[in-house]
Amino acid sequence: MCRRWLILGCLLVLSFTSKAGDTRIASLRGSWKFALGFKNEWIKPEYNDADWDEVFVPKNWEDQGFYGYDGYACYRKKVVIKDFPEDRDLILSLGRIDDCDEVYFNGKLVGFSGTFPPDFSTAYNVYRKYVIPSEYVNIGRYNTIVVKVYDGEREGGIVDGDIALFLGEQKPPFEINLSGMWQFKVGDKADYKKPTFDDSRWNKLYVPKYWEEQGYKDYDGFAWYRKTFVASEGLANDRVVIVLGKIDDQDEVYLNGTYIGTPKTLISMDAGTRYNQLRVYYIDGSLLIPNKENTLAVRVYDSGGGGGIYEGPVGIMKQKAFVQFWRNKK
Amino acid sequence: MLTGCSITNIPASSNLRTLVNLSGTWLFSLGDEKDWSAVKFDDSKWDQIKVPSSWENQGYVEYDGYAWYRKSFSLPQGASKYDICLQIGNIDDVDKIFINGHLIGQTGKFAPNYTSGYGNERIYRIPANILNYNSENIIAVRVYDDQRDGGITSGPVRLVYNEDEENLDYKLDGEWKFSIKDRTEYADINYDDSSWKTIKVPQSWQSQGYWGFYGYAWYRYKFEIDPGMDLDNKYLVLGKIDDYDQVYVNGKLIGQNWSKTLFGNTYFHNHDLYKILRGYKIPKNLLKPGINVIAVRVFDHGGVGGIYEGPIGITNKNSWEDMRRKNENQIKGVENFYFGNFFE
Repeated sequence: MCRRWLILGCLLVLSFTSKAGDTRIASLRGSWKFALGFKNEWIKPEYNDADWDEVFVPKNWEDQGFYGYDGYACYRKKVVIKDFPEDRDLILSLGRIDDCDEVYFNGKLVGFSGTFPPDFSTAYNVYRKYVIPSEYVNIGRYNTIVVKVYDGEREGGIVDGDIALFLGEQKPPFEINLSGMWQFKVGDKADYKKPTFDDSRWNKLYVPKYWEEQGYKDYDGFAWYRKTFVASEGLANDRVVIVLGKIDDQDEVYLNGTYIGTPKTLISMDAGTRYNQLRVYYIDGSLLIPNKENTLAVRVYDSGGGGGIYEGPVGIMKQKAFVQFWRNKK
Repeated sequence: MLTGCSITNIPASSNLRTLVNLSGTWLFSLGDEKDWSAVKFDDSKWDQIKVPSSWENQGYVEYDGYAWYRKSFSLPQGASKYDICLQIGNIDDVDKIFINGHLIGQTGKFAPNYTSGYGNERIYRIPANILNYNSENIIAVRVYDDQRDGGITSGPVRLVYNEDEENLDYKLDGEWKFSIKDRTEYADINYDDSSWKTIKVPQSWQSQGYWGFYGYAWYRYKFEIDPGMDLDNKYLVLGKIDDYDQVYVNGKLIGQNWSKTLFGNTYFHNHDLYKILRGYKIPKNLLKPGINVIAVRVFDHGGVGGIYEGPIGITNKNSWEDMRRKNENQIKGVENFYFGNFFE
């Protein structure tokens, strides 16, 4: 009885994640390289894993000769991507992982779910879907996927789901891609908006992705995101859009310490939720400092459920090109 | 969107004839600058955008806030004989219209006391003296959108005239005197209205600085009749009025569409009165050569208010009967259209 419910649950998860419009470009189901423990050098694409064990993915490692093992382990897989359009992201689907993981694509961290010890938190019931920026992809050559896993108890590993690479939806041709790792802090202080504020001791968080899936389970309330980027002179001399995807629930955006947006978008506790609305900030490029570091600080308030910058696209580009993108897409 | 509110704002306007079609490509910019209404402003770097259509539909995804539209147009030969109105569909949410740099109307209210004008049909009368009949004219539209879709979202977008104008002996449209107080002496022929503000007739008072005002208001207009004119058997046509009216000529009540129980317990609002063309027989010997005075008391129940659509003037019995018949047919048409949409 219990098992039947579990299968039904898995089917539901699957049907949720196979979104129309995502084209499958490679299946990763099958044999992966596998080792117990973890070393940082394993992240490097050139690391030689020829003498590693092989396991089937998706399936727990207990059923593949590692019975009773709890702790760290590493999966590696090489895949050739023949053709890839630049205006799309690559989406890596890894199904369910028990308990938490960090994923590297060609040596770059592309996301994580749950948190490793000492602040261990499981994300075993989160369906993994990582967005890989197109510039990380080696076209026509090997690409290396490294998955660092920690299992706290009972079954462990990449346990079930659709293991594959998908083509993401067409995204605006950003000049600056903002998806990836941001500095992140729960709480709320006015100083966090200042470009001079030192956020180097903040945690890292992948954007776009719910913070609940990245170690902030059940957290509701205020949190801040910060990211720096360099803007070209061309951007600074034009009308610019900053796209921050979808945010659950409300946000206030500061560029180099200046609030951008209309007054009504200021966070207010009695405002209706805007979680399903794409955030597009239309600004004058003169707010950017050309050829220097610029700071985006995003204050987010989540009133309940999933929180944070949870869905893309996120990036910066000229207004003219952005408008043209949507006109062509129609 | 048809809501309870917008029902009262769909005038039966099929006697409006197109003079110039303004839908198509306009120039467009996000933002808000004072000099964007000016004729001489250089808009050559602005984006081209389709009108009518929400700006979200034209690539400005999820934009809320201020934006401006500009377009130039020329008038056809012979246009100077018409009283020209701009019909500019529905605008989401607030708009302010300038033609050749002159403000001609506004629907809704901009910040700081923002109120949406969404759902109101926009018809603005353009004073003849601001139009260039032999050269280019510039229309500039300031828009504020509060949320979701924004811009000049639906049509028609055109310059129109009212075909019934041609059947008037005297045209009485233009600048009238206007007061939002309610006093019986305003009906008097000799009442001194020189301190009153002026207002364009026909055009709703909401779009002329009285946004959000409902209730009683008075209109007054003085006009001169040349000696020797035939003054028998005439009708005063006051276009369409939202909602109730009492009409005085030279101090005498000549007709009304008024509810006697307006403030009684049995008050029942007539939701269709605003669609009805107003025409009142002028009693014999009431009009006289020289100065004559029209005074109109209006009560607006909600939505658009006042003498909002023409024709405005004096005509003979046959012409009035023609107009009235046409209006009755249109009202039928509007009702069918409305219910047809509602239940489909």
